[in-house]
Amino acid sequence: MAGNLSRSNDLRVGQGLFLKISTALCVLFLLAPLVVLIVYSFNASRQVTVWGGFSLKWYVEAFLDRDLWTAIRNSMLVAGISATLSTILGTMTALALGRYTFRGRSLCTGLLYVPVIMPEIILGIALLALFVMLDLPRGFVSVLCGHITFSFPFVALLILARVKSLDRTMEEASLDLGASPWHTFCHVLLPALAPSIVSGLLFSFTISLDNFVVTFFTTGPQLTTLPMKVYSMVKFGLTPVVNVISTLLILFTGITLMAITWMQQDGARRRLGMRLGLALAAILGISFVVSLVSEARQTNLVIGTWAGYMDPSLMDDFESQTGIHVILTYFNDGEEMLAKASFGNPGFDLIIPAAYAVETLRELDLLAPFDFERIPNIEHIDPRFRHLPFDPSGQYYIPYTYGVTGLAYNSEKIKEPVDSWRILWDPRYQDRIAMFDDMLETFHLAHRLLGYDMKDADPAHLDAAYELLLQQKPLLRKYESNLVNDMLLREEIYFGQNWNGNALRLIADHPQFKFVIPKEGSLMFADNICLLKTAPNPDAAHLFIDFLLQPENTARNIQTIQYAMPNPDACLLLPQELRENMVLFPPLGDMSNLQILPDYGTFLPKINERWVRLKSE
Amino acid sequence: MMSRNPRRMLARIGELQVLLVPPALWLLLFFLIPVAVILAFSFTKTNGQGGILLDFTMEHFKRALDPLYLKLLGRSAMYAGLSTLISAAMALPAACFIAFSPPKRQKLLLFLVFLPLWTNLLVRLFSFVVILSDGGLLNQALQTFSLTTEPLHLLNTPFAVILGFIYWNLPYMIPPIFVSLDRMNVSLIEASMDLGAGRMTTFRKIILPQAAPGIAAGLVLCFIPALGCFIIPDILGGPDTMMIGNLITSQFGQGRNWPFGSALSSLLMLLVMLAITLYLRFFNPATQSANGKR
Repeated sequence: MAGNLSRSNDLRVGQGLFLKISTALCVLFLLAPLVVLIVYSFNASRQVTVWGGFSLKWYVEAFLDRDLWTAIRNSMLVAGISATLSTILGTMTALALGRYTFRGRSLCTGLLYVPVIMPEIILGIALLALFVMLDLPRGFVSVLCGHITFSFPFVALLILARVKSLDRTMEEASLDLGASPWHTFCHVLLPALAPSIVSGLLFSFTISLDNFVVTFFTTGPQLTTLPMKVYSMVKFGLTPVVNVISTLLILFTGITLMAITWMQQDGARRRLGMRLGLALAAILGISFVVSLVSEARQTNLVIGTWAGYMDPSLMDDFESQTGIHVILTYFNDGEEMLAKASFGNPGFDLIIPAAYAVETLRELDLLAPFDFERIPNIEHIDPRFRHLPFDPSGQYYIPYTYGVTGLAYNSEKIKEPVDSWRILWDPRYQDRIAMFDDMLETFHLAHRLLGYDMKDADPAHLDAAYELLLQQKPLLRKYESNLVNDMLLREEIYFGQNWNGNALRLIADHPQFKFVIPKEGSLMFADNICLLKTAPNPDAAHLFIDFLLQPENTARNIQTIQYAMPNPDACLLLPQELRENMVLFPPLGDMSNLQILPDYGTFLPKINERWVRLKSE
Repeated sequence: MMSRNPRRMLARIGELQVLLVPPALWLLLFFLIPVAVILAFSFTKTNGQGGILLDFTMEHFKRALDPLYLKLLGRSAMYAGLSTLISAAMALPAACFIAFSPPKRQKLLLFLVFLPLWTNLLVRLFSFVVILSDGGLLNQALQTFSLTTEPLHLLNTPFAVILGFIYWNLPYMIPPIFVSLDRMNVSLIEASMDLGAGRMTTFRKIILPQAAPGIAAGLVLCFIPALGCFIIPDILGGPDTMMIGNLITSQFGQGRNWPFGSALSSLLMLLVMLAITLYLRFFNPATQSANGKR
């Protein structure tokens, strides 16, 4: 073969010192973050970017998390199958576009670039709409279709580059010497394309493995993938568990590669390896089908929530009491959840929306009222939370958690008393301040400081709030929502807007940090459990809520997720230091100083316009 | 060129149909039709609830041409372009080296290039935070070697964002270039050197044309996704690094303005298609090298 002949690289072409050094630098640059990532999987601290000593605890936690292993298995299966099919489709496309001239070829080639540029969220929503319209069940197959759609154009473009630079003489020789086109394809063309096909396969595997958005929109409750879990963890409780998973994946990749290299050394090993690989694939496939079937046959209750927002041991207890299996599926953004729910329910019974989302869901007529006769434990709920402004009737929601946005600060660096939001505008602390990367939180605060209420939707007030925030911007280190604790710990900032639950996790290990609710008042959040009108299993949903509201269970839940729940009877069961913890249970008073984020409706695009302007000035 | 007898022509048309129809149908059903529907939203009015009113309007396109958003677009193009060019400059020598390595080393190096992709992007970006922060590894190293006294402010800057993009791009840049150089006829290079061409001339006249389709594919595979990316500026950026991807995503999120988000995406795609069409028409190294004389 020409390839092998030309490979006799006697002059050592392309192996000079300059190339060696630049390759080494490239590899170093690519691997350095991975080394850091592996080291930080042994971090004793809960923060993902601040070192706190050596520990194996996150490995233990990861191994005990059953959900996590299911998610990894699902991701591997989806990535494996979609990569194989994408590579086949991509190779066909590349051959068609690279070797034949026909009318519309440039157009077709141009079209391949469109999925590459398309924002994933549009593809996700578009596919969701398609599956709903065609009334296809959402789950494994729909996710596969989504993944193939975004990955095969990538593969095609990659292989196309190879097809175009191919030397055709070998093929012509083969055909001239009487080989059939099929024979020529198998023995001349395919081997010549092999490196690009393998690259394409690896590419599509990895982009499928890391995809969140399209998976989120196309999946059903039975299929949660690893990125869905990881991205969802960002909201509540991102821990070095994510580093552990990544480390294990890297290890797995290494071992697979070594196994393949070992196999390739001689024929006997290859046959053994092939058999073992096939057996493994078969076992995985069968176990997957079995688990899918058994999951489908169980009575299931499906809850859409954030990862880490409900104590998993409660699900096990509920299952052993009632025989109902609870499935948690995850989202990482309330708006994504709204979009998904409004396009037709893929099988959720209960979802946990924020207050404003309850309002929207009700307006879209997606919620069913609860039957409180069947939830006697509702009596334990704090009456102040039963008829919140987003649903004065109180029929469409069960209060789940609540919390307050406050100010977290480093008391070693700040000696003066901190009781006002105004300190975030103090030029002495330039570059040591972070605000939430959230337009509603920031603009609500600015309105409040100016003595306005954003609910009035007054454009003049909005302009004033914008000016106030613009004044503050030069003092800011960053707009950040999720890594505020890390930034505080690294002493990059001394002040940050923070939710009380987040601050609690920080203060528990690092008492130099304090959390206050400034005197001007603040924003409060109240997450709720809602029953969808189209819930497949409303009876189980009622049973589960009654179970969850039992004071012992709520107390356990509070201790695990570290967010306050409006259940005074449960609070009595908490250990004293937790019960009296002012960060976990901030004094709410009559709540007149706290506002629950309403649905701002038509004012939202205006706020967004100002927010974009603020961030791009 | 292939022989021109009619039977072979017919066979080739058959082959083309077999090859082209399934992917074309797939793209039509799962991509073009549903996405066209969503993009048609960009001509509708919003009801402010995240919903759509079926009234024709051009307001979103007019709004998208606001200098504010054009500025975001310019910034995105700058970040994406700069990082893509730097990645290409870094990737070319590495891809050469890998392509001309003995098979065993080649496999190892390719494995190392792909390795980062096995890890969730979010988690890899957190590692960058560890490296770039004020007390981070890079600053510590610089101070240990007394290159700086004060910690450099690296994180939350445009520098960090561009570095993040280069990191994200490299594994997508090296393989296409490698693929077009691999199995290249080494004797061509030897001949060129033997006949007295210098290293630079050989590189320019022999290696570069061969690598061109790969470089082109790499540039596209890196530049376009970087243009629409929002996670990297979110995590590594500062208060002033918002990009067009953040804007589009926020229209489908908190901004609750799907039509505007669709309009922005349509414009972005139009621009990209335009650029690619021009590129394919006026500067197509692929056809040049494929038909080039060997």
